[in-house]
Amino acid sequence: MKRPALRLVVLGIVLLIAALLSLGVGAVTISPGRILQILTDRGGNSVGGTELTIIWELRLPRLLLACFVGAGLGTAGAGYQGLFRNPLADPFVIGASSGAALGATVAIVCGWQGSMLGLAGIPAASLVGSLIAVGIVYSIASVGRQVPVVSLLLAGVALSSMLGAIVSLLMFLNEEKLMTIFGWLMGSLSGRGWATLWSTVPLIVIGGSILWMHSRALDALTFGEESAVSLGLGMNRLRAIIVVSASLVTAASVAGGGIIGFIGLIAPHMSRSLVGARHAMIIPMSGLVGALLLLLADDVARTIVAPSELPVGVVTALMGSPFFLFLLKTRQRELGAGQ
Amino acid sequence: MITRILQCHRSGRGVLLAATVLGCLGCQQNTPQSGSPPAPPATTIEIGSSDPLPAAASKRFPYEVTDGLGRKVKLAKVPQRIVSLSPKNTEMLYAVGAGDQIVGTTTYCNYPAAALKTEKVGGFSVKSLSLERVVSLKPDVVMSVGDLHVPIIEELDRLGIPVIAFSADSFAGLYDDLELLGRITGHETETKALVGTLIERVDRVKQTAQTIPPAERLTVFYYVWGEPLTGAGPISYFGEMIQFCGGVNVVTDTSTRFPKLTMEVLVKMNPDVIISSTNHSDLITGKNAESRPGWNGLKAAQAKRVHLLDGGLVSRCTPRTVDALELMAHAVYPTYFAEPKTASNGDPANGQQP
Repeated sequence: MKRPALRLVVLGIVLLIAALLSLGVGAVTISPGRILQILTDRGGNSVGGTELTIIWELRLPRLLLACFVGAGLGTAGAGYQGLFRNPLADPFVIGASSGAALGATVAIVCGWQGSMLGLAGIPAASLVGSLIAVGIVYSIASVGRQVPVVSLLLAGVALSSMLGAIVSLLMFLNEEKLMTIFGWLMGSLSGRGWATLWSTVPLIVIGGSILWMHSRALDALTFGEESAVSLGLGMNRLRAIIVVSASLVTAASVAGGGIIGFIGLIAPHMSRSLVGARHAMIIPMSGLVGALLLLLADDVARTIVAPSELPVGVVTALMGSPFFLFLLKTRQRELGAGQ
Repeated sequence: MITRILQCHRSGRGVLLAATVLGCLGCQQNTPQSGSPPAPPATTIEIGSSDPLPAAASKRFPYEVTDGLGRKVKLAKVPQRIVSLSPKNTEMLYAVGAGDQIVGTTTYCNYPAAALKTEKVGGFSVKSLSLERVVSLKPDVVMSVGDLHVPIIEELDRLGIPVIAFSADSFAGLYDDLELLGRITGHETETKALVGTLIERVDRVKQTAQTIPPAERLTVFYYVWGEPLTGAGPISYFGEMIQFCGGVNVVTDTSTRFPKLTMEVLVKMNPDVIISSTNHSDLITGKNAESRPGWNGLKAAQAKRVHLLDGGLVSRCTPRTVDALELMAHAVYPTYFAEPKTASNGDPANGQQP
């Protein structure tokens, strides 16, 4: 019984160390000693202004955002996989990504510069778009007071392809904005600062905590909806709570980093192979694994083509898929655990 | 000449952006005349297609030219019906005095104002251009750009319509393109005068730049694009502009015209001056520059040395790019370069941007 908890703690420490090392990595390399000096001596005269700006204004907020967005995608993925009892479910399965894509594209095309919750125009629009899309899918799928899982998935797929078509149309009609839209759609943590962090992290933490609080119910769902109902759980209410909180986490993550694929799919599977089938462990572990994966992917994105950088979404897909296939081949049984 | 100052008061950290904007629309329409040596008045030569062309010009035809893609194109006679597929070509055609020979342009061709009244054949990209509309205008020749237009060039080749691609993207290339256009369209004399004036104005900037002592040389970053952050390298005409006016380009990568970089690298380079244009789709306005993390740590931002050039002048490599060069020189070294003397008649071509 103790082992899963121990593994959680170990992975937490690994994440912390990885984060500290990541601070030194980038187009401009900064030694660990220098980083410690900069972190502990903020505003002191002993530190050069350039490196101070790079660490405090660019790397630290971005690195923290990578951790929280990764954690958000991981926990949301765990929530959806539990709810749908489907190992293919990911945070974008019921339309969150296509809604976010459309919201962001509209904001880019209209040149909307407004802000909301401290978010700049494009992330704010993606947050709203994502929530609206999920809301539409949910209301289409509901029959009376029931919301059948299959209908949710089907409505999600259908709406996603429709919204995707609108995004393509907008890109076609606004060719001069193509680069900007494309860059956003590929997912990137570039150019995100403290403001983005402050406005997305609370949503991720709140949504993630609600999901975690419903771990027992998700465990019961694993054995089928009938057995969950027999435990006295109100299915409709439970489903609504999980969809709303997972969608909130997803939308906030997308607002923070654009559409970053694969993390939300593989983090829960890896977590199950590490801590077993209980959601009380899977959900925080998925958060830690997601954070670590996105942190490392962003390190690669920042360094591999320096002085330029890659969109992190490309890195997660390029490196995540083979890794996942490798896991699937070698550790099929553990990955399947919980299903 | 108007200098527009955009002051941003958000959270007390004002970023001052001086948007230097050329306030001269009227005189710009005849760029040939805006220099000192009086260019031949355009009207006497280009009235109507029925006017006999100078003997020298028509004697050259049938005329074979080599275009920007290295293709050999044969023109039977001086073209009287020209379709231009890019705003740059359109501007150059008007500049050499061949405006009356234009029968079609793109929706982005907004300069000079007369171009707005021409028939539109679609947008700039191959996808949005209507081949049928081009053909229906019965052009004697189509003026395209290079690589981007290759698919439509192939189509037009098949239909037997001559296409000449103009892909030069440097000052030397601009002079060559203008001279070629002048020869093709029968406006050789005024083109020679125009190019002579342009070269003279550029040389004047270069000569003044040579008087700037090394200790006063400033490092310059030309901000092309924000997302992803993209600068102008030495092999782009923006890079040439920086070099001509005596600046030191912080971007040294010569593998591509517009190298991408990250904010970290820009912070490390820490240029003295940042130049951009007023019509980039992710324009540096006070607000979005401030929201870009690290921006306020830049020397140029702190010293309020972020200057925006009029996008109409700078974003296409045309005769007006020389105006942009003079504006840039003044923006970077106000003590060495006087404010360009161009007659002012109110707000500039800004409203015409697509």
